Amino acid sequence: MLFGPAKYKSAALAIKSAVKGLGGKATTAADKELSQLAKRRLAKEKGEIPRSASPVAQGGSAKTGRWWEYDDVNGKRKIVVEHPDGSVHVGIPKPQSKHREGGPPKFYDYGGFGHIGK
Amino acid sequence: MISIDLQRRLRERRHASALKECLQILGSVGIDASAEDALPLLEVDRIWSRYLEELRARSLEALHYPGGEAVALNEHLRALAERLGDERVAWLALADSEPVGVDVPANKMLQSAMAFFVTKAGDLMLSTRDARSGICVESNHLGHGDEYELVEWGAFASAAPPGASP
Repeated sequence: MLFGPAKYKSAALAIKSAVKGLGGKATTAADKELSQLAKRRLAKEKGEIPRSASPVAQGGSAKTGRWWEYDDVNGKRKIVVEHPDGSVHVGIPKPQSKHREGGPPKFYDYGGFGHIGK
Repeated sequence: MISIDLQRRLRERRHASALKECLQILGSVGIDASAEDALPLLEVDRIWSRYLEELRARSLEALHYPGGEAVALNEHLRALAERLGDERVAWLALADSEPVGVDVPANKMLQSAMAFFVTKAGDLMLSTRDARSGICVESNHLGHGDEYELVEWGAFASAAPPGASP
């Protein structure tokens, strides 16, 4: 029987290995909170945008948030939007959106993913 | 590089597919429309171009409703539906990014707007053939949250509806 810190260390290791045994990596708080770059990468993936694709256009401001336009695997235009609160979205830019002229990016939701990476 | 003729045929094919989808949507919400009500491709392109020009020019006139206040906007659209009656207008829709135009009764579209057409994935866009009158009702997710946006001009324009802010 174990006593003191060694006991707890052992218990922690047991939980970690049990989680791994269930087929996944041990989830930590750091894993749950994706970086902004990781969220944007995930948004590209959800939006069927090749990982290697460079933006066709990009812009934004601290007030409206930042945006990147890409062509997806089918050649259709998509937009990745990062709002000032850090939430990231992927959608199809609305034809009436004036984000290229400094307005807020307006987009049709694509795939219903909502806030990506949360 | 594909020929212009092939490009035209591909576009026609995309348009036919998009139109079929749009007619199904209308049918599913109880609005009768058939292929005969569809606007020809060339006319759709012409109306879309003018409509978007008018809409973009009026972006500063847009009225905004907080996301949770759809009731006031719905009431306004229903009053507008009553005023316009079954006057025929063009419903402009995007299906898989392909623009489509269908001749529809204004009142039925406006009555069904908030229940079926105005979503995060689609706007309600109605226009006269010359785009001198039009309306656009949108649902947007912006940096500060969800909101509805209303732009109307020409025959669609009316007194500022309650609950909206410029």
